[in-house]
Amino acid sequence: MAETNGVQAAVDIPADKAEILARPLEERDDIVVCENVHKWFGDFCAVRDVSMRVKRGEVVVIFGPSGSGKSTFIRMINRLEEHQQGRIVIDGIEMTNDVRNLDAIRREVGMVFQQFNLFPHITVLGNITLAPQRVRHMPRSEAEALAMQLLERVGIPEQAQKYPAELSGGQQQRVAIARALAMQPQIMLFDEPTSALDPEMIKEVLDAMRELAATGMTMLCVTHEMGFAREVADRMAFFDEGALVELGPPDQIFNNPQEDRTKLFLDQIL
Amino acid sequence: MTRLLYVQGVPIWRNVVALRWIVQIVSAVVVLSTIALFLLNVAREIEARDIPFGFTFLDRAAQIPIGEAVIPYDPSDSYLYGLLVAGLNTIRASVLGVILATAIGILVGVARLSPNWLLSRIALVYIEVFRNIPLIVQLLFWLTIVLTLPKVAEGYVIAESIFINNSGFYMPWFEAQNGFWPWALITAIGVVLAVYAFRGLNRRETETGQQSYPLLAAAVIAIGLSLVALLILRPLAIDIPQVEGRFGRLQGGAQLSGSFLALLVGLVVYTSAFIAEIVRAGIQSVGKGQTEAARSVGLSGMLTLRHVTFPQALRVIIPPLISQFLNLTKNSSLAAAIGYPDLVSVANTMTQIAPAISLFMIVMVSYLSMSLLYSLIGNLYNRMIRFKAA
Repeated sequence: MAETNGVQAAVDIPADKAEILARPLEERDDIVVCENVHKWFGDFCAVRDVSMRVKRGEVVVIFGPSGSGKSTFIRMINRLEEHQQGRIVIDGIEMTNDVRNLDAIRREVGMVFQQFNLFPHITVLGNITLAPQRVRHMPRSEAEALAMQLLERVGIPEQAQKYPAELSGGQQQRVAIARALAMQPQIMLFDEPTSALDPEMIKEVLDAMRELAATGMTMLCVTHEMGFAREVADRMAFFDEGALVELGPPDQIFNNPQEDRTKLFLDQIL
Repeated sequence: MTRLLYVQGVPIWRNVVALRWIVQIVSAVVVLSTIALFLLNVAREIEARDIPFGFTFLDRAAQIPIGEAVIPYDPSDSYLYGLLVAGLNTIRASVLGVILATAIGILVGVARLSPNWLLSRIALVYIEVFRNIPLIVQLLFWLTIVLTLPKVAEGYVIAESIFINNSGFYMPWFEAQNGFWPWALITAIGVVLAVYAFRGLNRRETETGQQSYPLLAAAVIAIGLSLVALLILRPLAIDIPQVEGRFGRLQGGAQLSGSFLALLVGLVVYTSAFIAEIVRAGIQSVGKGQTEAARSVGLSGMLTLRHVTFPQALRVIIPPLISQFLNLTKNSSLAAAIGYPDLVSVANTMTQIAPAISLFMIVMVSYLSMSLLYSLIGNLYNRMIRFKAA
């Protein structure tokens, strides 16, 4: 993957991640395992029999028409939605109704939302330090140092003392990324992170995501940014009517889609 | 000459700034002259028809009985003191009512949002029933309930110390002894120390991340100190209600009269239904995305409520909550209908001999100052917790 995205030169990669990145994808272990997962809202089947395995450090872009179940699918990976049938295992932790397992999974998985969902009543710094301090019991000085380091990484350290409403959309979304990273997750979920942004701000968020991908973070991104997908994704998953229709490397999806529905959808949006 | 009617080269009737001023001045004149007309009229009629007015009566003996009093009262005391006694009765009912209504309202409001179907339905029924029946009907209903209790001589007695009958509710209470004030002082010091300990340990917890149990430590300090002083100084004796005299009147202990109980229950139940709705709306006003974001960074349900949902809900809850406090305080004047001697009821009785206009002016000013005090406290608190930016 490091070779495919071409921006890794500027970032330092932690030793454990570097070791993983050094191995080809096929030889890495599965960090996300979904087997025959189903989800209904009332009578409506939102996710239908989806099976997918994601390797450690892999970037998967999920796309498809609206209402195709792609958001519901990634929301099931940190239990914002409950799956009703099938099996989900995150980094060796089985997703059951056990509260302890769910807490452990939520600590493994970070999430970035379409609407940012920053906490409006606390500062940018407070947004990032809240969970490390309260959940990981990190001393304040340490949590703040970590937050500043993450803000540097997403390029807005000067905004630390401001409140979310004082920031532009792109800056807010970068704070949201920093907030998710502060819990040092193994997996990052992105639910249409650029869909609520003005066009000129999309790039700054995608750049932060590119940088993150280069450090070996496992990422599942629901997005329609096809340029980003082509450049960064290891594999792309096409969802339609709740089902996983096609899963393959960007090269296959863009140049040689195996399914008619994939081809039809790409023709519509490209 | 017509140039005088021009402001900055624009005729006055077309100048926005001038028009704004004209409207202000005209409305001020209308309002002030209406008030002046009213006051002059009242003054003229008072004089012409010899309506009693003035405040000299306040020093004279009131000569009316007041059924219950927080401070000692005798009919030979002055009108002013009588009004004070009645005012304290109003304050007793409304302050106790505000505290209980807030506590119950929060519980019912949170229960209304509970995923537990039964709990949520019970809360819904509670809210809809008590919110939609006129308060006066509820007060008369509760009074009826109290009056159907047996007579004093045949009333319920629990452990020979708690008496329940149609004259009210009587229970053992504390009586201050010699060491009371030293004990109260030590307890106050304990509370101050506890607040400091709480702040210090809370800071330690956020600075170092080590669990420091600030709430537990504060509780131990405050309660511990007070208890030790209590054991050494023995400042309180327990006063048990006793049956006394030929008619079996109950003396001593804490006495809650039937009409006070009916008033308190009525006010609390009625107002808590409104408060429950305010709390529910406040919590629901915090978007679902906030809870999802909190859960996805690993905060537990309790931590999410404490650090994310509640601080945001509070900003929506406080202003209408204050207005419910004001409503409860004003509604306590319905006490007159069920025989509880509150400010309105006593003032109304006094009008039989004393000037009514003066008395009701005093009553109105009293309610106004109570309400303004609540508003002031509420607004200060609201300013303290508002969003720093946005």
